[in-house]
Amino acid sequence: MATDYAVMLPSLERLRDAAALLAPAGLRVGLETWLAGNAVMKRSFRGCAVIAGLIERNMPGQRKSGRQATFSSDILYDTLLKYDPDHVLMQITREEARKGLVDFDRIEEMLARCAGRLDHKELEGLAPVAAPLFLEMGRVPVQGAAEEQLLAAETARLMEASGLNKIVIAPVR
Amino acid sequence: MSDGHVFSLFGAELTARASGVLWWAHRRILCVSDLHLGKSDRLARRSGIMVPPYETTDTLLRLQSEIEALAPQIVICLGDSFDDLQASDSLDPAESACLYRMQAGRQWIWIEGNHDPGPVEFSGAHLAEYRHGPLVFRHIAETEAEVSGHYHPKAAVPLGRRRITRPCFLYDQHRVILPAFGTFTGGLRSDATVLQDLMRPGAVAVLTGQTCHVLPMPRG
Repeated sequence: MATDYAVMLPSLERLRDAAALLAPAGLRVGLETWLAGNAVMKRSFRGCAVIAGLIERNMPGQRKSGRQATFSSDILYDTLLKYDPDHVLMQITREEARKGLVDFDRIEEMLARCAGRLDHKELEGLAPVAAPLFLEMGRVPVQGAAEEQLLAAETARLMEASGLNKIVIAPVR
Repeated sequence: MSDGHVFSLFGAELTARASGVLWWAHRRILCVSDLHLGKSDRLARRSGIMVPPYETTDTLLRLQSEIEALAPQIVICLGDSFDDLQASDSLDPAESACLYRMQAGRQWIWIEGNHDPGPVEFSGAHLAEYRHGPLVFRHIAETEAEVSGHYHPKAAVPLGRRRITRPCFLYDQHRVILPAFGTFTGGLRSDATVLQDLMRPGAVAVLTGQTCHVLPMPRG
């Protein structure tokens, strides 16, 4: 979650060391792989793929076809990333993302500027500058271990609630 | 967890694997559905849309890693293995070689699907359906005690403001429907009428992906 002046990162577990999170070396490696697989890139790619005529644009209010034949642009993106990362559509996507959504040079510059001068504060309540972030639209999901953990917890809860976890499906003869 | 979710169907102990293949360990049968090999080729031929053609290789490599891990005696492809009959000729030499390597030393069964309703040039038995023990393997669900594919089921789990949708197995006491294994395949949500009608109360969905997640079949 980000605005022009702040970034919000919800984490599943309590953050102990904020400096490590913003260490440039780790951040650079992390940023590259994260950007390659992340939702921002996929969103940029979808735009390119629509213009290239590979997929149809989804309109708000349009009825979803629900056809098994149509697959998402995310699948196309993942496949190109794996087998043809320098495909012209991928080049355009990277350029679009770099220009439009994430300004790498400014991130680098900021990290250099505030290196070693990070204050990590655990607040009692919500900071005033943080409040508007909770109302922002357009969250970018970070697809990682947290997603699998949440999914495991939620599906276990659903099984428990339905009582299906107690039923061993008995053979029918 | 990573080995998948084990359940019983007419006395057969089956494993729904996170990769999307069904494994019958006792009979050493690996079953996979809706590979849709050659899909990009067919799209290009029929609609002129040039989708990047890497999905056939990707699908075959993922299947190969499952075959290497499990060493099945019998492999059953549950239909729509090829996106159409012409697409079965579109595999390049490396892709064909990969398929031949997987077929070596085991029985291979091609079940006919609506996309590939006839023999293909690859070796193996071409059947409309296949019976083994208490189970019948066919493309589209019809009766009981059956393993089928065709519908490409997927299920959605709401997580806070988000919703995570993944291809899934659906099973109840009478049948199991496999997810589509092909890389360029979409899915049909489990709350679609046809799936609601096919699956009985108490049906379970097994999400595929990094790991299996088991939940009551979402009915919308």
